[in-house]
Amino acid sequence: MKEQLRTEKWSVYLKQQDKRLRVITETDLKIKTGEIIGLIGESGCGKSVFWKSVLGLQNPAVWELEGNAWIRGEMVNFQNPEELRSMRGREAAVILQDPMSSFDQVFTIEQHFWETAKAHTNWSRKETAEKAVELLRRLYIREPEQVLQMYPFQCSGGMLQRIMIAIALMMEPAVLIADEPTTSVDVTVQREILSMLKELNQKQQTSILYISHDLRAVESISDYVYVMYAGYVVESFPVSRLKEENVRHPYTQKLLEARPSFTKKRLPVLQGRPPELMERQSGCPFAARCPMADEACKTFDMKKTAISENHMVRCRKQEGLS
Amino acid sequence: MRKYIIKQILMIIPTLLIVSIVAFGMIRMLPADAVETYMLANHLEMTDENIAMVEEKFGLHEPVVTQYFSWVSAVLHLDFGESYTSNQEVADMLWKAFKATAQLAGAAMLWIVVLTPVLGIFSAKKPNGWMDGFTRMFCLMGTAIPTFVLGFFMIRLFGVQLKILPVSGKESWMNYIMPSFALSLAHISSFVQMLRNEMLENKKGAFTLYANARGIKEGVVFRTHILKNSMLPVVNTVGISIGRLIAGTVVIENVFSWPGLGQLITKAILARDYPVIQAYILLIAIVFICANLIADLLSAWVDPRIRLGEKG
Repeated sequence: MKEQLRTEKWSVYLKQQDKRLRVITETDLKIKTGEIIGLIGESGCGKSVFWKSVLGLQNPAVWELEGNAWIRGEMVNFQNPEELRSMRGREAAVILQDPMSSFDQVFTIEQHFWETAKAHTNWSRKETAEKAVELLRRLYIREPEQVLQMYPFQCSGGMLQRIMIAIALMMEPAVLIADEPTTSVDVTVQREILSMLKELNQKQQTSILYISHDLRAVESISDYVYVMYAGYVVESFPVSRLKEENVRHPYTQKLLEARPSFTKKRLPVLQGRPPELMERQSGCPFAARCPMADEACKTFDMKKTAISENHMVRCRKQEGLS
Repeated sequence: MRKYIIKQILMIIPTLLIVSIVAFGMIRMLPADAVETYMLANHLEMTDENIAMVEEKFGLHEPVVTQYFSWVSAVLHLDFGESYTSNQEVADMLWKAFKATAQLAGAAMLWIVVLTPVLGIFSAKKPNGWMDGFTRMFCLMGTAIPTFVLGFFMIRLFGVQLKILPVSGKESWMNYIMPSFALSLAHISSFVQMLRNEMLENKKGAFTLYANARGIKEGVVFRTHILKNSMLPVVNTVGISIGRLIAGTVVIENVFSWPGLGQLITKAILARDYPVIQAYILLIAIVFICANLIADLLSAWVDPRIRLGEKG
């Protein structure tokens, strides 16, 4: 299978006066054709920073990138702003978490399609509208011609989310990045969006990076899961191993334990919160919350350990156990 | 939207009614006597006969309520009475002065419409750059300097020392430059600051991120999304400012000897010229109502959320 997106030793730094704070550390991630990758972690773990940095959306005066990224096998040149711009939306398209505020309220849906097409192609306005109608119909939007003439505030959240997917698909991107697409919509719409993404993936081999803090959503949609904590991918494994007895990192275990279920009498809560950027220290960032942590964890270099061919973990306790 | 406009227009009637009562009432409550004022202005002797004659002439011997109603019915026929001091028709005086002030306000509006976007974009393009610094300095001075100080300063510099601009009168377009600029400066300053804040806010907005993430060119994102969204609240405020421009010319017109409403009302107040003051208050009320209506229509024109109604 071809790789659509790959990052290698991908690190992101935030420059602050004389300091250089590491936000994301050596992330190796790959998405193959027709794969859905789940990226999971609590808020503030660097999930959004990750996709924004890969798309080159951050101000280079403040953010520094290290490592390499490939899209459709071609290395992305982060020194060239114009190349980055034309890659965004065409090679890697995003759907965002808050469709209501992500759309510009004073522009029609058709104008959103048109400006996106204009940025990447030389299609005529009519051509673009025809493609948009076709895409909207494929995403089960009724009367797409009328919808195109509507303003975002005249549409529902679920509808806008689907329109966002349609805009993303228009350029047939290598990878679709979904940043918590289900957080701001109600449960029925969540289901709808998830099944729609799954359907797109199966019918058209669309590769998806699904970013979420909702373990259940990730479990239901992904083929492979990356667990992120304080900028580290602490564990990565095929979704079939997403079970309490199979995962190795205490953070992943705690996340699974905290998952609601009918068979649990009491829901164990993972105490504390991820460390802020300024609070991060050397060693394992999870050590402060980890029930298994000891002194040596505070100096652990976060080396990767392979549990099996496609199961990696960054935990001192797992070293030598594999 | 049409319903909204009709409602706004209908609302003018009760508003004007209240304004007319307040204007009439406040003037009757002034300590000075109208008859005395008139007699002084017309060099009449203070005899009982003359007093009775003047009271008769202006209907001042009748009860206040009757006076009010006869005034209102005259006003409805666009008859605002005669000035006590100049014996001219108040309607003519006001109309002439209003035209002069409206021209001045129009010139000021031109400054506002041209300078606000230019300076706003200047400063928001590169926040904390030198252009932003210049603009912020300009706005700070614009809001801090009183209009009359600015007026005298400009007259001194451009009129007396450099001799490039006329200091008073309204004969040519050159006469408009200084007073209209002085009038607009405070407005421009507050609008630019408003526009700048809006733009910096919208730059961080979710729709900007989404537009960038779709690969839309930075310049296009700025010109379309950021600028348009930032203009919406400013457009409304600029519309409302029409009222303040016309009513706020008292100082400027006196500094530049501009023959407009500001000068007229200053003289009228000093001379206790009741019919003029009453008519002026009414006129300004109408100006403000119209300005608000224009502001609403402008907003509806540029913002589909108002035009179509949210969730319409």
